[in-house]
Amino acid sequence: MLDILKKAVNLALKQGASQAEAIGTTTITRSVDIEKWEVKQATTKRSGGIGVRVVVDGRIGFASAENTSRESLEDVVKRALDVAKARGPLPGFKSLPEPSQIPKVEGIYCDWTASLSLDMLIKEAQETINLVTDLDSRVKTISGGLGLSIWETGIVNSLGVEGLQKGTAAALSIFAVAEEAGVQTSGFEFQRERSFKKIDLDHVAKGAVKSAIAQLKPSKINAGDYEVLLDPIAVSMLLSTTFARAICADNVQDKRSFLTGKLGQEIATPSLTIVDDALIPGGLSSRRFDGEGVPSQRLTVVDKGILASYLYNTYTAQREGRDSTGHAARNYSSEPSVAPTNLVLKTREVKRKERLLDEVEKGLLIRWVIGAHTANPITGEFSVALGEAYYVEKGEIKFPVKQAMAGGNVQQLLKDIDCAGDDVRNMPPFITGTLRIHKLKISA
Amino acid sequence: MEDLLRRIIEEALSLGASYAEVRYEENYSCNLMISNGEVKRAGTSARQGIGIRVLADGAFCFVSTSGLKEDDLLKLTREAVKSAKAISKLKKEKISLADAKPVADKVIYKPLKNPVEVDLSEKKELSLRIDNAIRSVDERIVSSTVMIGDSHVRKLLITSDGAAIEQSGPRVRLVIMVGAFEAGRRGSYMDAFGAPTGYEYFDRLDLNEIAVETAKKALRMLKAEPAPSGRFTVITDPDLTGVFSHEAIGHACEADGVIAGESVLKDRLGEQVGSELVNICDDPTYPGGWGSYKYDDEGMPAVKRMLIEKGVLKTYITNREAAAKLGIEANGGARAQDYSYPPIVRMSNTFIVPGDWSFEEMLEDIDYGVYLLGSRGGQVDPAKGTFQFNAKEAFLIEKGEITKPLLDVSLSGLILETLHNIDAVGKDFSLRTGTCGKGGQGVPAGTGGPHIRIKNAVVGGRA
Repeated sequence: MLDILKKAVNLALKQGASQAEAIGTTTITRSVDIEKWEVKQATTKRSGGIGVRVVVDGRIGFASAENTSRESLEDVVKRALDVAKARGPLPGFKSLPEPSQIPKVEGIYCDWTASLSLDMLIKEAQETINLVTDLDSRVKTISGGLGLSIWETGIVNSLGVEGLQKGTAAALSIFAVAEEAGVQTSGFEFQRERSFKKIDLDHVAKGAVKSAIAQLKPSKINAGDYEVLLDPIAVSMLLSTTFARAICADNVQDKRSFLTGKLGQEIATPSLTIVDDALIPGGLSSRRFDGEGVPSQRLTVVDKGILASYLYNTYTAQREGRDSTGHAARNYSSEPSVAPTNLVLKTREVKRKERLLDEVEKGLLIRWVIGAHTANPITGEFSVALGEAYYVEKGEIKFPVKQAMAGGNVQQLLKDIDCAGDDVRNMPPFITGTLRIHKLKISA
Repeated sequence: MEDLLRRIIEEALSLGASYAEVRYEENYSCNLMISNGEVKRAGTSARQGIGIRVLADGAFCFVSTSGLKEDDLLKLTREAVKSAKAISKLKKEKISLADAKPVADKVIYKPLKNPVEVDLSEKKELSLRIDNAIRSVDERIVSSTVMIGDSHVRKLLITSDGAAIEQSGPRVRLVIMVGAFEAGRRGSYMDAFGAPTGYEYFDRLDLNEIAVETAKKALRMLKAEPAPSGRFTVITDPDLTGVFSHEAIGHACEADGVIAGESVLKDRLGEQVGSELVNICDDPTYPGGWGSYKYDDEGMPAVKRMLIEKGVLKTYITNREAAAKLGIEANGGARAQDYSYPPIVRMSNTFIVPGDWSFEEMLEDIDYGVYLLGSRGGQVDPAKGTFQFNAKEAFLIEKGEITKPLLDVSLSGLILETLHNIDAVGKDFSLRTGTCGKGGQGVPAGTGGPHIRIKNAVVGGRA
């Protein structure tokens, strides 16, 4: 892979680029679909390609191709140079990144996972179905999917950056539909890991069934402010399209972030600290270097409630005369944007999940919500339907909640977090336990 | 290339596959994004690869690769047949396919201005002109983003049932986003335009007027007032009519969903499901439609599907598998996003057929109601038969006249009840561009229709 990338970089320099960069990726994904209690279809997909970025007189050009043959490389380089010529200068752009020491990260590639065949996955999928067949007559159907991906990505630039890394990922998700007394519910559970060995078929399959059954016999609740326990799934849903975008320097610089101008200010409860850590062993977003070959690091984003840093790639950093934090996000067919890796949420005090539940006088446990993608990424406002939620009284789950909405603003939500649970889960880009929110507005 | 695809088919059949389908595709695309006078993104990409689907012992397996080496392709084919057989052993019900007539055809669309040949600087000038026009409308316009995207796709399909089809053509698309700001209030508006043609499409558009209109809509949002909630008579514009016919009706007519029990229209063929004024069709043969095609990705000729005629449910959209299973006509509804995805049941251009009402006639009888335009997202549950759309724009209707602009208005309800409550269908018509997502695949889909009037519709506002 690195040889091809070097060839592309040299070709670009020869044809007039002052700087050049090539990124390449190959990915194999294998997946099996489960539909109505049956293995439905299996798929293998091999994909990948090369992307070339060139600098000509301060102008940037980019082009990509799936084909990495010699003729194709020549075509990509020519197209990148054409784009640069037509594009015009990029204000504030100085240079592609310089090379620096790339760290090691453990647990992001698993040989065994990479060696699994499609036939093996078909067997595992059937095994998963068997685990919940005839478990409960109220369960009407089971569907879902099982899959893995094996990828390798390389980057080379004309300043000496050179990096190669590979990773694996495995995932199982199961949806269950249950029915009783004319009420139909959908439950789900899933697990994503770097290694297929860690996937617990039993936990996921039975978890989905449990989730569907638990939602039967729902009752309405009154509108009002409630104390709420947000499951890691709900936390990730609410914060992914809002907070996770607001901390990215491109959105901040273009004033598409509610955190613009808030550096050094208190934006969350003083007990909350959020670290973006791309070096966590086995983390689902862990990596050795980012999309431009800049080494990964551990970056404190929120320090005891104070906004400590935004996330930068090379260009957004240069616009502010600072260094990239290693957050260039891209694939071979795109120019670098900015995105978090593993955002680890921690509160000063962490309590056992059971303890958090025990302490609820009158409140809700919200596992997931519907419509979180409609949250306003610029203002942080959200209005979502509760997907799976339970009414809790004196520490006990009383009943599942029927059709209710939750609304508010993520800016306020961050201030209303008062404690995290120990049930920590990797929900990209977040790593978090259940969060206790002392007040959330619920409408019926 | 055709020979290579045929050798893959032969390999699959020799290993015991009963059906094999091989699709080669090459796609060239260019994307440009301008924001507030600056080029934010520009790039071109070239893609190519092969997707192979085999049916063996009544089970499917799909494999795809961006590599074109024959050895690798044959190895993948062998894996596919083996996996299909493995799945077959686990399946109670085996898959069979509706009959297909062998078709050999070439469908080549030759644009006047092929996107591949149009210079990037020309595309940039075009975008800058629109961006400039938007920002010159009013000083309250604080942001403008213009995106131009184009592509040219060439597809080759060979099946063991005798299809040998080549299809190629371009596509151009323009997306505009405008933000306005005044006295602490933000207003924004987004619009999209496109056609399955070359850059000649833009010569026929009044780009200045499009820019000015979009900017004015964003400005109008600054003055909009919270809307009332409750049941009202509403009028939807062709845009929202189209979204309703696609999201609420079209998806419920997809045969795979019907078979899976995920459609409120299941077991209702021949039944009166809406008012007699309602005619809804999904038509891949509509000339110049964003979702038009001549052959689907299983090699079946595309045919116009009259889904609902005079309020009666007439048919579903099918692929060969679903048609065989339901015992109805195969009507060419199998589409894939690109070579790396298997074809699944999809819509093409979905719309309500125009009636004979003028907009003024519809308005006349309304004492108090809401006029809703466009959609900026929503949710549909085709199984439960419920829908909810957030309109892009809305106005109050008072005593037969459109009065003030409203903020954040949604339209929701039960699909079947709403179809029965349509009491006027306009004689105007327009079809728009969209991307329909399903099963992780996005395909171009046209949506549209005339203005329609719905009685007793559920409107959600914040007043």
